[in-house]
Amino acid sequence: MRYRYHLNLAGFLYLAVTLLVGFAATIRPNNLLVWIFGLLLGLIVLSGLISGGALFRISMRRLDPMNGRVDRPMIVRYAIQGGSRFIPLFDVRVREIPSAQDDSSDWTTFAASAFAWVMHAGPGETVHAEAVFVPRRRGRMKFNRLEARSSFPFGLIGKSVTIGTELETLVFPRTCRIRESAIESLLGGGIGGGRSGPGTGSIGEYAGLREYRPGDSVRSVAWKRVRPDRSPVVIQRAMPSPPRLILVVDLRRPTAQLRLLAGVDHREREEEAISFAASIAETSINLGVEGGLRMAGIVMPDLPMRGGRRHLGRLQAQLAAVNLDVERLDGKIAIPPPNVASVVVIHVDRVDPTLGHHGAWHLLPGNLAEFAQHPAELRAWTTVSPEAGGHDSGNAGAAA
Amino acid sequence: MTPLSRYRRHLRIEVLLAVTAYAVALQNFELLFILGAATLASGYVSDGPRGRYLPIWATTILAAIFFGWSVLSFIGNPDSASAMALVGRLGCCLAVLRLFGRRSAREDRQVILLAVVAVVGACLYSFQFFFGLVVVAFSLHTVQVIMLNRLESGLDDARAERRGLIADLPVPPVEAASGRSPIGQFRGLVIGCTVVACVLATGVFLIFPRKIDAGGAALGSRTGFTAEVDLTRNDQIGQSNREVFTVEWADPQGVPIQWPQPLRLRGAVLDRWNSAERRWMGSVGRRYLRTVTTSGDPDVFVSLGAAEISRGLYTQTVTMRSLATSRVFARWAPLAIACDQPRTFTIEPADLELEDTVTGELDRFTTYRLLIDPNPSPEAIESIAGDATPPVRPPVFNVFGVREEAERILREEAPALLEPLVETGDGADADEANRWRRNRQIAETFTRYLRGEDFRYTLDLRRFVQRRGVDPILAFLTEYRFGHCEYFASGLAGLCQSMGIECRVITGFVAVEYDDAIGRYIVRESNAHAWVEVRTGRWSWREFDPTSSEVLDELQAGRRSWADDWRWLYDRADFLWTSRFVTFDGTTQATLADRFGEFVGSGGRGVLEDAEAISRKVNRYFQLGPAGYIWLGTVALAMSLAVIAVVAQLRRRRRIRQVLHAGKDLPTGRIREAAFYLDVLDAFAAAGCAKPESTPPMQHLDAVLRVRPDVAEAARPLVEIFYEVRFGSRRLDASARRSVADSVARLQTLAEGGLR
Repeated sequence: MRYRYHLNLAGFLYLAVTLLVGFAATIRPNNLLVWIFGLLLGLIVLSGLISGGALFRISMRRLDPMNGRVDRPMIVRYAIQGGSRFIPLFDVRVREIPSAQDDSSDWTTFAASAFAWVMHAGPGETVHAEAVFVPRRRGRMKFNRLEARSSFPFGLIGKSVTIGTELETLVFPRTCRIRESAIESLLGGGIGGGRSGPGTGSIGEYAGLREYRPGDSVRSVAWKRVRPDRSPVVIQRAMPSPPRLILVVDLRRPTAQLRLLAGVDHREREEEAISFAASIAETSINLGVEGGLRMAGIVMPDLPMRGGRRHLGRLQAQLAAVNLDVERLDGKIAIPPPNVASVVVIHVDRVDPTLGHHGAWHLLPGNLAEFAQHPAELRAWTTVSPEAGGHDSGNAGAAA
Repeated sequence: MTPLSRYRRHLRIEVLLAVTAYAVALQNFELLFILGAATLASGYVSDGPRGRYLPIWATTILAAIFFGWSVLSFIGNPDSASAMALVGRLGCCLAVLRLFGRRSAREDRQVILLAVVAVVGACLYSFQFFFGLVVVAFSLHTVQVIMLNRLESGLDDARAERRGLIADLPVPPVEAASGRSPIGQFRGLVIGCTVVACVLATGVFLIFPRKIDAGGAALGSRTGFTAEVDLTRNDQIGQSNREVFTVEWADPQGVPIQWPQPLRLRGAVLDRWNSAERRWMGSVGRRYLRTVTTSGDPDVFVSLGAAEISRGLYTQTVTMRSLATSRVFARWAPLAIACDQPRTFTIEPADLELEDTVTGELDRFTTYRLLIDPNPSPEAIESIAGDATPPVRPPVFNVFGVREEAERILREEAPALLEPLVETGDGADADEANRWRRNRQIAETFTRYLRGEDFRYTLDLRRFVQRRGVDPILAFLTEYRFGHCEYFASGLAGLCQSMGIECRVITGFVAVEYDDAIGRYIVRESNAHAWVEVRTGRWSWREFDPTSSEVLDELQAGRRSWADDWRWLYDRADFLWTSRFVTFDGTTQATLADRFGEFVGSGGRGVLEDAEAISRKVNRYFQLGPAGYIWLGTVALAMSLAVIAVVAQLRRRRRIRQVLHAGKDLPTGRIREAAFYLDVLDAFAAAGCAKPESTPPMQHLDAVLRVRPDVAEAARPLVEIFYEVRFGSRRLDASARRSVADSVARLQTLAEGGLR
């Protein structure tokens, strides 16, 4: 914990006015001016005492924001407790301090500075304040130190307290809404449908009867069909099986070796590929599709095909955690056969049909404009725009 | 409700106080009415529900107009002394103008700064008590406004930062904290800061290096007494009914009486006309100044030089009210003086001008007494004068045209007085007596002439144009023929001196308002007066007042208002302000340091003596007499009892809150209704079964039932009522409260019986 005093511009101006009044009081025998001069001096002393006393032994805690998303407000909350027994906190600004080291994952490389404002916290009282960051890029965002600053009550002398408290959070990639028809096209319509599950639980639609096997639940026995001379039968139920989709992001080629037109930022194009994958995953899972993820070229665990928001969070966290600076590998990845799931491979520069089976879809970042529900939104993105679609390769589209 | 709910209102009050201070200091009440009304109107127009603001271009143009007005005013009258007044006026105008514009906390800071500039500028022009009161109120209010502005600034910044994010994004809004807690704690902090700032300011005030006797510069007032006659001003003199002092005029038997004529109290004696500076001045070099020191007992008189003081003298007792001055006001001729403080006075034997030396004392006197002989014998005056025998010499009055005017008057009114004085042959004494008699007749003629219909008394001198090369006395006598008492006295003195008659202008007060209830004259600032003394003998001077007494009486009668009934309070505060604050200088500072050193050195042994002296001084100040000590003791006792009662009540309330585990959200009324439970707990304790804190009341009642069933039975209905009041929101009416009180009394009786 580090305490510091600051004299700001208002303080300098105030000091100048105070000296002028003092000068006038000196050259002119006017006791009222002398008293005002004393009051001005007193306020300077008070300003330091009050702001210092209020911030003395202050405790601050950053509450984990869990995650953020590119171009979306990320609200970071702080719990602040005044340490003074008598002096309440007023007008305290809590802000993050940039890391002293040159760290690419420091929060300053993600978002502009923001502060949380606490108007009032009584002595010993804990209040929550929130700062709103808007991350501009994906990745692991690190917070290092916190600073609470106050120049209350008179704004002349400020006092700041710095506390070191590290926290790392993930910033998910930027996404856009994909057209439902495009998702249907990717799925091909034949992968989903109802499938009978292996179990005989009480959940699901009626699918038929079968003979009892040891281990079946007593509750699944169809008692009305039981014959004394025959073995019991059990009710077999079917679980609806949603369509399945495997996303493969092709990052096998190192950034510097990407085959792109001159003037195109390679790293940006990789980020767009990741955002494209995140957009497809988000839209499809929200539509009930079970999605899985494979990263080609980077060692990361495969994510199995699952549905639901939690799985979507895992999937986006995986995409957020992709470090494009690591060494790329050209190893094989396991692609499920066509009868198990649709496969969508997103390449960065050019389509490589060898990745995935014959029915796989191969897409490039430039195809995002065709898939987006609102292509106009993409104009806010740095490089991806409707006009930029498919500019670098004629191989974009379905290879099936 | 948030601490910022009334921020705008406080800002308007701030500006209003600044404008008031400026207007009071500069006596510019037209500005107060205009800017004050505009400030109040901004509360409805700009800060009201409709929120109409002046556009920026209009604000800019108006600001430029105000600035141009100030510049033109300065060019028209390039007086450096009035520069700060113009700056202050500009500050007031711009601050009020800012209130009508769209503004954030940053612009509000400009408003505060402009208001501060206006008040600091005004401080250079006034020492009045009311002005000081407004400035102190402004200063203390500024503390609150700055703190509010800091909060508003933080809120503005936080909102601006949220607005700066990407548009159309759902971002939580920033709101000010509301509720009792922030408001109460903010108020507490404001009060604390204000008190500490005042203490620090007073500390700086006490130790700030000052010039010796610098405070004397602040004693004069435009509406009161001045120790000079300055005829360069041609503005309208304001009238003030402020009480300056009271005078008791007692006959030789000590009975207060009213003098048949107006009581003229001499302050300063001016016998030399400086035509270059256009003012009357005192004699150059007071070679015969003598000092006398009083003992501090107002009943012990010290002779001013007379060999012996007879018993048949009148006693003049002056009690100061608002004028803190070193000058002693006395009727001719003072022979002895006493004062309520040990002071050293100087006396000029030639003209009996008395003054306090004002050296090395912290307090100014509040009461002094003089033994007066209205018709002193030449021997008495001679004994006072000693070596300072006034020479018989013709005065010099070098103003061209005045002697001609004097001769013209005498030719018309009394041509015989123009004839040269013929020696009678009866000796030098007879010739001298004739000359004194003729001087008196000439002075009477001039006085009669000035009191004639050709001359008009007025306080408005705006039409009296001062021209270069034209003496104002001559202009008064020959051209304008109107003015106030200083012009009339100057005219008479000029006429007499031009004819070679020794005379002098006297400034002081004329006491005409006699209060039968207290047996004293009330002397107000508007009673400041100037008249003439003409030498009518080797040891005698006679008063001549060319100002018509009827005019003075009429003016005096017309000035009374209902506000004057409260002047006794204001004037006492004003006196304290002037004597303790305005005139606090290096000498007083040194005395204070000496006293502090003595106090520290003596280990505070003199505290008792000081307290006794203070009580004596307070008693004398309020003129309560011997019974005043009883009254003071009664007041002190009553105040002590009141303090004890308040402390006891506060402690009881605090204990109730602790017992009830009540937060600040529980209203005081509810707490008062449940207060009887404290008595129930005390009764339990008296019965030998005190309630542990952790035990609920009903459970404890069961425990009491096993030990003292009678007490438990008596307490049960009370505990049930307590439950209903504390947790069931039951309100007790008057009859229920009486019933509860009776039950508690019965319970206490039972409980105490158990102890026996």
